[in-house]
Amino acid sequence: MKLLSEKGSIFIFCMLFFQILGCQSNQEAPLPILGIPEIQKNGDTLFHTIPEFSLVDQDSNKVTNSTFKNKVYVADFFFTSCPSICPIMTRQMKRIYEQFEHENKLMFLSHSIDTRHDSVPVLKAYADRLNINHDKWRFVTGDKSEIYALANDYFNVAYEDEDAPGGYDHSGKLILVDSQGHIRSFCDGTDPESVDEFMKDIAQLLNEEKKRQNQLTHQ
Amino acid sequence: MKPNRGSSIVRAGWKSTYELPPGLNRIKITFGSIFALFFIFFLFDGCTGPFTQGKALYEANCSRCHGSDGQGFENLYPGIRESPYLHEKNLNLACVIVYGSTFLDQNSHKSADPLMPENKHLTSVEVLNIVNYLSWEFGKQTQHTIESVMRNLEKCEP
Repeated sequence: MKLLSEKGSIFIFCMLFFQILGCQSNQEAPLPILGIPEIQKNGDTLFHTIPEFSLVDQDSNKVTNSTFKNKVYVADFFFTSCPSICPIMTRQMKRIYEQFEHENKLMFLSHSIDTRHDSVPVLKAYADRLNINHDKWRFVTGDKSEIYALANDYFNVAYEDEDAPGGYDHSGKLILVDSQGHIRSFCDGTDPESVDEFMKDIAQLLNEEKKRQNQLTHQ
Repeated sequence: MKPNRGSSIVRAGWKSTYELPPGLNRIKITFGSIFALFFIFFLFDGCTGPFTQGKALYEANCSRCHGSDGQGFENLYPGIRESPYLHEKNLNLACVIVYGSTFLDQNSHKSADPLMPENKHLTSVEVLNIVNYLSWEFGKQTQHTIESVMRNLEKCEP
């Protein structure tokens, strides 16, 4: 009787062990599409997608959705004279940039929320001082209301606030967008550990996109 | 007189030092060594820096841009170590801390963009703490007094 129960417990342990193993191998599940999906009348699901936008970058180039065609990009919201969280966010963005420097499928998009001060030359000086490839990392300005509305679509908050340091209040999230304009991951740009996890998600999404494009070319 | 309970336990604790079995004595030795380690740690901890208040203020107000190590970041935020304001005696570091770019532009030292913000919320004692910490950590380790900082701040008052 006692022997049986011992065997039984070993069996249960084994089951648990394999279940844990099974869970671990399941980790390569695709990243979720974030945001609230819309169910259309015909029953199709419409996932949250970044809307059409038209902005201007540090080299006076027009930046639209098609700039990121077949690319994955990391987006954030900042302003150059921001004394509070931006310096930390920019450091973390640069860390991600360096990690994926030779990955030509990945781009970066930093929106200025201080459209009054951050003109094209100011953004250009900022980008120059950051020592980055201007094609890969776009610093954009544009119509203030358009950028503030876009911030909401990227799950960020941005508004003018006299009491906030620097005059603007905004969240420090970094957002990962896939080639379809869907948001697949985000992190707290002021927390290096959160950014570490985020970089794993970027690598995973890049793999997924490569597989997708291989499938498309084989069809 | 009836001794209270707490003190009797303490006394028993002291007395029992010699009565403990060998196994428990070893435990006591380990406690002793842990205590000694803590003591040594506190001794060395005192050596890490005398300007702890200045360091805390620097971490809270300056390190986001200039870095905890004073190295700055790319060409965006200049490092503290190589700043002339730390190494040349006649330059006014206190005013840079309090007035930021407004002061730097007036002295046409370098048109800083991104702008260095003002730190008018700092009191002159806090500015003194930061100045002393900076010169101890990154500079020539010259000591400043509250009089010299206040004199310097008066010079750049708008």
